Amino acid sequence: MSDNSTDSYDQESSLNPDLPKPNHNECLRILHLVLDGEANDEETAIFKAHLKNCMPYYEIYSVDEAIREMLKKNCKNKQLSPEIKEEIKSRIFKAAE
Amino acid sequence: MSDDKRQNYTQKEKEVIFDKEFLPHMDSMYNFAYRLTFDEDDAKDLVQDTYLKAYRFITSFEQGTNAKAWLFRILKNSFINDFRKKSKQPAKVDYQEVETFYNSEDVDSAITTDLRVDTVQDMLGDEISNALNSLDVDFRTVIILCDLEGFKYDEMAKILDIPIGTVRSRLHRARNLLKEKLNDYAKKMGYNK
Repeated sequence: MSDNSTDSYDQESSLNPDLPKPNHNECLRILHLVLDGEANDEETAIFKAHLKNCMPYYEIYSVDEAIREMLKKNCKNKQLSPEIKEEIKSRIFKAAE
Repeated sequence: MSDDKRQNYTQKEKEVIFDKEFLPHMDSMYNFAYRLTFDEDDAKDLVQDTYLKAYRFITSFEQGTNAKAWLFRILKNSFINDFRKKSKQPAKVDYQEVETFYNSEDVDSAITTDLRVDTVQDMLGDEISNALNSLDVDFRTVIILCDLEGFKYDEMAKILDIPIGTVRSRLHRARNLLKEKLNDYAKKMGYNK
């Protein structure tokens, strides 16, 4: 992907004057809001419309999602044994007496 | 999270809150503590210290509010005030650079990576884990809170004591840094073909 990877949408819009001029910075701002479930309905609609016509943004979104899935799968695996949990709990209750 | 409204709990109520609202988060807390300290014993101590404080200040906790966020906030503060001070680890993040990043032109640099979905999915767990671990602690923390624990921006802002805008800019920068690390791995291992 090059620095100008969002040009595909620009080219499309320049060929078709009826298409609105894309705002890539705005879309990039919204991308993470959508990914994090923080976008409102209007922002989600803008993003979806942009995504449909802009392959690079679809790729960025998909890669970000894939990274998140891999993080969840591989970096959320530390657990305390039931014995240690019980030990911590009894130490705390004893300290409070 | 409520610091000003003190609750009047009986001993029995305190124990019920502890068991029902605090204990279920112990593994998440331990995982967070381990990702901060990289040491199982230190992580266990940090979790124990957090739960001790939570129990001591249980009257500041309002039942039905977000116990997980409250506990994460205590653990984060314990890490900064006690553990990091003890281990003399300085904060390495250049905050000026972080806070101005979001509004700079560099914000578009996220699209320059060669990473593809299948490249990411082909990576080994260790490569993903090492990439996360190699981030400075403040960047690592926002990724853990958001992507691993699913906290919302406003919850993260309360846990970290920073404005929501800073949460977003720090998260954005952290994700770009993580992608750079993963991209480097991919190149080194010949995944990008």
